[in-house]
Amino acid sequence: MSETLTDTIGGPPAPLFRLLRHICIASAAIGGLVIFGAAFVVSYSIVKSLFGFGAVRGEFELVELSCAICASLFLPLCQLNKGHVMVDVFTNWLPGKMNRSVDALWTLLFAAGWAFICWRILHGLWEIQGYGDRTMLLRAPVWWVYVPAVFGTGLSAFVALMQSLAVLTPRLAQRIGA
Amino acid sequence: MDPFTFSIVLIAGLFVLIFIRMPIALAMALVGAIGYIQLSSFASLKFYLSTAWVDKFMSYDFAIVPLFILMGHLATRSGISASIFNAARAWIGHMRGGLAMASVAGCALFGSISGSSLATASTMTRVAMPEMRKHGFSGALSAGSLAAGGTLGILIPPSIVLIIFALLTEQNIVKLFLAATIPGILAVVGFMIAISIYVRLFPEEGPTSERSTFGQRIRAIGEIWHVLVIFTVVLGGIYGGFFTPAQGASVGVVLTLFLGMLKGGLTPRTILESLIDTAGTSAMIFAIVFGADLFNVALALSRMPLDVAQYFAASDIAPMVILLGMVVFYLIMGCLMDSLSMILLTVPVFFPTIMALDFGLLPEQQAMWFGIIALVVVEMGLITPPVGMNLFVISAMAKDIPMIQIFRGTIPFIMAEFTRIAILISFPSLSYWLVDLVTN
Amino acid sequence: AEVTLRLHHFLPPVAPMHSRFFEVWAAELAEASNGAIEVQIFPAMQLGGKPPQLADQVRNGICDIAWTLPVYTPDRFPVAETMSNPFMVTNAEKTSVALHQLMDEFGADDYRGMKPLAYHTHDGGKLHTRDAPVLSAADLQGLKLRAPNQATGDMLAGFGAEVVFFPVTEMVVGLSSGVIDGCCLPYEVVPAFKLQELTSFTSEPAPGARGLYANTFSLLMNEAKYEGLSDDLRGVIDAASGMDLSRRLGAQFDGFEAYGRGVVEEHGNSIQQIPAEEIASWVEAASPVHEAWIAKLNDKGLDGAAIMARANALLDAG
Ligand code: NA
Ligand code: NA
Repeated sequence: MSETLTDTIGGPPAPLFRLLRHICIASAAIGGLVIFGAAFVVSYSIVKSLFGFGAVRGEFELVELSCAICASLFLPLCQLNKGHVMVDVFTNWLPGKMNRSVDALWTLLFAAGWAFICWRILHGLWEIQGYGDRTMLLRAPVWWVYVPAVFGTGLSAFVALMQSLAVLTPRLAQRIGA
Repeated sequence: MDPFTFSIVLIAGLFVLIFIRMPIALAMALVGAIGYIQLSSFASLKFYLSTAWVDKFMSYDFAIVPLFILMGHLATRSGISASIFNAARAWIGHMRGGLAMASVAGCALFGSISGSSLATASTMTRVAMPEMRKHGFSGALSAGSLAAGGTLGILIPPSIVLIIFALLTEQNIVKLFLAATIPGILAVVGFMIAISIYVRLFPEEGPTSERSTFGQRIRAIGEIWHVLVIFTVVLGGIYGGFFTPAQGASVGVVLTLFLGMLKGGLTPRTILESLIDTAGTSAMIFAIVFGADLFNVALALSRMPLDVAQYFAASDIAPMVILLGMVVFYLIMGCLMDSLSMILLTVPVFFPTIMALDFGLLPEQQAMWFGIIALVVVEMGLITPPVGMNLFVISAMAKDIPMIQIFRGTIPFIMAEFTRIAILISFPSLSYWLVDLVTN
Repeated sequence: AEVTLRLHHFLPPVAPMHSRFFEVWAAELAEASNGAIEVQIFPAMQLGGKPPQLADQVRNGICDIAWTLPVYTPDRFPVAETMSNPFMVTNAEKTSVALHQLMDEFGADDYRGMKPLAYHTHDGGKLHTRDAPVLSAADLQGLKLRAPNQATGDMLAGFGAEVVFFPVTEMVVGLSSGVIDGCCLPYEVVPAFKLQELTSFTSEPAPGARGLYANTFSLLMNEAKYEGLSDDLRGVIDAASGMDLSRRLGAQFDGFEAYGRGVVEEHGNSIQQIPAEEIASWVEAASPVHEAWIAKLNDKGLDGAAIMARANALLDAG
C-alpha cells in the first residue's frame, strides 16, 4: 500500500504522511467495525425472533445509521491510497512526469471538492440539529451521523491537498515536513 | 443554449474529463455540479450538498453494498478458495483441459458467496494459477479461464453491480438476483464449452491430469461444506423470503466470520485486513455513486432522459435496433471503463428509453431482462482489452505471462460471451422465467 | 412558457397520483395561463434527496412545488400532523376539508416561508392480515403488525399487538415470508404492492365510525417563486389551489380507495367489518395517544386542547 505514496511524493513516506496513514487506517477500521457490529446485531435479531422473542427494536434504523457512518469513515483511506477509479488508456503513452502532474491537479480538485462538501455538511449538521430530527424508534438524533461525515470529508480534503502539494510544489512540501 | 443541447455538452465534457485521467467520481460530481448550477442555481447546489451525502448513505437498501463487500473480503481471507478449487478439481480435473474447467467451476462457487468479480478473479488466481502452470497449462489458457471465471463473481448472485442497478431503477433486488441465476449458469456452461473446444484445437495447451478416486471426491466436497452452508443460508434465506437482502448479507458476514475462524484462515489480523479492504472497495463505490447522483440530478433537470425516451418511443426505429445499439455502446465503452461507472452513467438515459419501448413484455419482465443484458455486457468489459480489470489483476499476479498471451487467452471466452449475449437477447424469458416460477 | 415550475414528488410515474392528478393539474395550469405556466413534474425523487426533505427543498428553492407528508419529519409540522392521529379521519374528502380549515386557523407557523397550495389526507387505514381477520381487540393480541406511523403503532401496541415499523418494501418481504402477520394501510396502496396477494383478510371499521388513521399530505410552493409571479399568474395559481384543491384531492383519494377495495374484492379476499361498538372501545383506549399529542402541541407553544377539539368539531360537522 505504501508504494502508492512513495510514487506520489517521489521519496520515502514522510512523517506527515505516516501520521495521516495511521489516522486514515484507524478511521477505516472503526467504520469497518461499525458495519460489522450492525451485521452482528441484525443476526442476533434474526435468531432472537426465530425463537419467538421478537426482533431487536430499531434494527432497521441501526443498519441505516451504520451505513452512513461507515461510508463517511471509509473515505479518507480511499483518498490516501488513490483508490478512486480512473481511465488511463488514453494517457499512458505520455511521459510519467506529465501524468503525475495531471493526477496531482485532479487530486487538488478533489481536495477542493471534499472541502466544499465538508463545509456544506457542517451546515447541514447545524440545521438538522436545530430541527431536532430524530429517528423514529431509537430516537437517535439524526445530526449524530453528520459528525463522521464532516470528519470523513474533511480528512479526505486534507489528505488530497497534502498529496497534490507534495507533487506540485515539492519545495513547499519539504518545508512543511511532508 | 437550450437544456437538451446543454446536457449533451455536459455528457461530452464528462467523457473528455474521464479520458484525461480525471477520477470518474470526481468527473461526474464536477460536471454534475456545473450542470446543477446552470439549470438550477448555486444556492440550490449548496443546499443539496448539505444533506446529500448523509441522505444517500443513511439507507437500509444501500447497506447491502458494504455488507456483501465485507462478506466477500472475509471469504477471500478465510482460505476457503483452496478447498473450493480442490473440490472442483477432484470432480472434473481429469477431463481434457480439466484444471481450467475446475478453475471456472471454482470461480462460480466462490462467486456464489462473493459479490465482486475482481475479488473472485484474484482469489482464485492465487490458488488455481500455480496448479495449472505446474501441470503444463499454457499461460494464455490459464489466464483466460481465470479472467473469464472471475466475471462469475458478479454474474452469479450476490452481485454488487446488480444491487446498484436495482437501487438506481427501483427494481426488486431479490427478483434481480433470481433473474441472474439462469444467465449465470449459462455463463459457466459457455466457458466450459469454450475450454473443451480450445483444448481440442490446441491439445498441448491444456493437458489432462490424474483422476481422483471416489473417496477423494467425497472428501473434497466435505472440505467445502461451509461454502455450501453460507450459500444456502444467505441466498436461500433471501429467495425464500425469510430475510431481507440486508439481513441475508448480515447473516452472511457473521457466518463467513465464524466458519472462516473454524477453518483457521481468519485470525484477528486477517479480520482487520478484511475490514481495511472493505473500506477501500466500499469508499470507491460510495464516491462514484455520490458523483453519479449529482450528475444524474443535473441530467434530470435538463429533462434530457425523458426527451430521449419519448423520441425513441415515438420513432419508427425498431425497439430491437435500439437495444442492440445500447449493447454495442456498452461493448465499446467496456473496452475502456469499469462496469459500475458504466452502469451509473448510462442507466439514467438508457433505462427510461428501454422502458418506453414495446418488446411485448410486462414492465417488470422488461426491466429485469434489460438489467441482466446490461450486467452481462458490462461484465464482459472486464475481460476485453485494452482495459479489462480482471486481465490486469491476473497480469499483476502472474508476472511471467506476457500481456499479449493473456489477451489471446481471453478470445475463446469472449466468443462464448457473444454467444450468450445473443441467446439472452433472443430469449428474454431466460431472464425472468425463474422469477415468475418462484414468486407465483 | 413564461414561468417554469418544477414539481417534485416521491411516487413512481406509474402511480395514479402522478398520471391522474399531477399531470392533469399541470395541464390545467398551462391552459388557464394560456401557456405561460409550465409545470415540469419530477417523479420518484429525481431531483435528489429523500422524501422527508421535500418541504426543505421547496423552502430552499431546489424545487418550486413539492408534495410531502408531515409525518416524515415528526414534530416539525405539528398542526398538519394532528389529523394523522388514530381515529380522526372520516373519509378523505371531508377530512381534507377539515384539515385545510384547521391549518387556516392554527397552522400559520407550520409552513412559514412556504406557500401551501393544498392539504389533504387519504382514506382511513384498514387492517390487512394473512391468517385471520381482526374483529376485536382480542384478535390483535400477539399479532405482528406493520404500523404506518408512530401514533397508530402506539395505539395497536396498546392492544397487545407486536408492532414493527418496516419500510414498505421490507414489509412486502415480511408479509410474503410470514415474518409479520399483517399491516395497517388504506386500500389505495394495495394494488401498487399487490397486497391482495400477500394477505387474505381485510378488516375495516363499520360505516360511520372514524378510520384507524390517515396520513396527511401537503402540496407546497416556494414562497419567493410565488411572490415573484405577475399578478395574473398568481391569480391562476390561486384559482387552482386552496380549499377547493384540498377538497378535490381528498375526493380523488376516496376514488383511489374505492378502486383499491375493488381489487381486494376481486381477488376473492374476505372483507369484514369491525363493529361500531368495538371501534368505540378502541377510541376510548386510544385516548392516551390523543392526550400525548395534546401535550406535544402544548410543548410547541400551541394550544393543544383547542386544536384537538376544533379538529374533532370540524370532522363531526363533516
Ligand atoms: Na456473486
Ligand atoms: Na474491457
